[in-house]
Amino acid sequence: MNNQALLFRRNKEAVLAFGILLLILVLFALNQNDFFTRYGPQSIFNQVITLSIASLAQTLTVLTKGIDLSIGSMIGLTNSIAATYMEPISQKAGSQAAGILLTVIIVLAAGCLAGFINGAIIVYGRLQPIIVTLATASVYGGIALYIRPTPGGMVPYQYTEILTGRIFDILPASAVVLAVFIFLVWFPLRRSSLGQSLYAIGGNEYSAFVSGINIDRTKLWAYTLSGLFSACAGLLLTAQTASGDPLGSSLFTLNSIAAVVLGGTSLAGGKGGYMGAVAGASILSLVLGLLIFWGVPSFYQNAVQGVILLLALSVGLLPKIKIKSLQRTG
Amino acid sequence: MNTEMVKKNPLHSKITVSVFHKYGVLKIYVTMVSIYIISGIIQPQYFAVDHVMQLLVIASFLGIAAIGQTLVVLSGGLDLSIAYTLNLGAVIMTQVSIEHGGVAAFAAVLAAGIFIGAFNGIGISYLNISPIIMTLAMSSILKSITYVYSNGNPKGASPDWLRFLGTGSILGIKTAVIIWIILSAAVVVLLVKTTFGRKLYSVGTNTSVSYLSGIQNKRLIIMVYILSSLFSVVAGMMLVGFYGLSHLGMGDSLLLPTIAAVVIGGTSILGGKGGYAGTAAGAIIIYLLMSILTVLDINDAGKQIIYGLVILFVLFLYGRGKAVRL
Repeated sequence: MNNQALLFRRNKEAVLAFGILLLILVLFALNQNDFFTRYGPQSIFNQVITLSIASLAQTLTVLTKGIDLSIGSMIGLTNSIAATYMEPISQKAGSQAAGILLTVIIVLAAGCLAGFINGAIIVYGRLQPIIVTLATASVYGGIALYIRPTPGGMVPYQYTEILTGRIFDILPASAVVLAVFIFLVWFPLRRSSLGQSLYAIGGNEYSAFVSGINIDRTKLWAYTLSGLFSACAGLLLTAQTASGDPLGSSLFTLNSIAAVVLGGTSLAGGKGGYMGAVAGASILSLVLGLLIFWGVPSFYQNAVQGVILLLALSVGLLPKIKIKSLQRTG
Repeated sequence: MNTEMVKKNPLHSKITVSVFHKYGVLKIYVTMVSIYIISGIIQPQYFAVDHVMQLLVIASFLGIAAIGQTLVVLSGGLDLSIAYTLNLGAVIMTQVSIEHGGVAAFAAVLAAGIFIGAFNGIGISYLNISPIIMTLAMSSILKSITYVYSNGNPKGASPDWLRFLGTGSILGIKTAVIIWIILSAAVVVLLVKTTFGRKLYSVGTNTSVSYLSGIQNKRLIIMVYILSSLFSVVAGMMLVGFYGLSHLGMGDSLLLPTIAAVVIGGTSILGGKGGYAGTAAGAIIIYLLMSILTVLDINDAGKQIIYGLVILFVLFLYGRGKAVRL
């Protein structure tokens, strides 16, 4: 079998996700009047970027056969920190640019710390990720609520402009951010020994252990990076909403899982990748825009997302069922 | 338990032991009583019988919903659709009862529960969709159905008999608590004394071994999710009886606590170990804790933080796994 055919077989679900995404984009082109102007791509990428980055966080933990239910809370926490402290820090620092930079560094450090705490409890406490991150989600959500008891706050106009505007008036900034995460973060990570270890642990933890992979350290990295990328998503969300909402980000947790699974990454670990998750996140975000174009009442949004998820998974599973029934009879 | 019996009937003895001794149900009840005594020291009114009854009533709704979660977790799955199954059940209850009467509403709610559970179960067992994803997608769909069906504003009210079940009392004991006790007893018997219960533990422990032992895993899984949905809609109906009406988002605050109650109750999130006796105590512990935090005048932020820390603390006490070793 040649390389390309193998690549296709391995990524069948991701290919399906990109197919659905293409269909949605065609529908967008038909419905959105300014689709082919410079505003079209800008609005599309702004809609998909936050969930796409949150899905990278989820992908890393799911690959190790874990899960991170605290992503929404970490996004809410970092969003609250950024929206609350960016202005005061800018004033103290004396310059807008220095203030923004300093806040970004603080936020990313907070995300790393939150993720590291998740990882340390899971690894050294030898506890199940699903329940640990459920508990820490409550803790991080509480801290966010402490920092910002009510939604609000503000960020400098320039900050919003940098992350949601256009570069040289043509290239959407969100597209650049997404490209950076795909080509400068995901691909190098995938090829690094850490990336290989993530897949190995998800495939079979015992075999990975016997092969000399440091399981504790790999998992610690997975959750720490998950926290870091959640903080990135929090920063992007702050730029888009220009305010902070401590609890408004809880949907990101479940949507990131849905995006990852829609993109063909198995919750059983060791299989899949980030590219599919980007497609999954884009589908889940853009389908809402499509429903608005068509004037569908917002009540139906959740059902459409749920049905797409189930249909995509069922189609992906059909060949497997066939094989199984053959095995049983034969 | 004598050793001879253990040899003769390993499965039987293992389950009996697991329910009553091995997984520390006693430890959970000691924790519960200690927290109760602490709450009483902080706020002496909490020793009053009235307060205990009120606490049990509040805990009963979570407790009933957590029965389903316990069964699902024991089978090695997770049910994230509990909140909206409960909400849809509650909305059907009030909306159908104004037009067709309480009995028809009751039947419609149970039918909805069975249908939702069967759908979950079939997706998980026959389409091999992971339980988290299946119930997550189901939850999204149910949320839409609930909003569309109620048009964003649920109508109707609780029938009188349900109002009695939710708020009345018999011989000084609140009916909601009595119903919780009856359902708890039924599910403990189901888990410990019936073949269904033993098969459930077996599937949760090891799916392939259970399949090779002649257990029809798929049928069992479907049954488990149907039961889970049924307990969710029953909890929804009890809440309708308690509040007198239904509203949107009724179950939102109950989903994560059902999982927390199961875990605090000593049931392994990996399946196959634990039981309902612990979960019931877990549900009470959650509300005891909330009432202490309320008395101490801790704000929502603090409550959330402490709630998360307590779950972590409990996990450290008895949720630890084995290290990977050669």
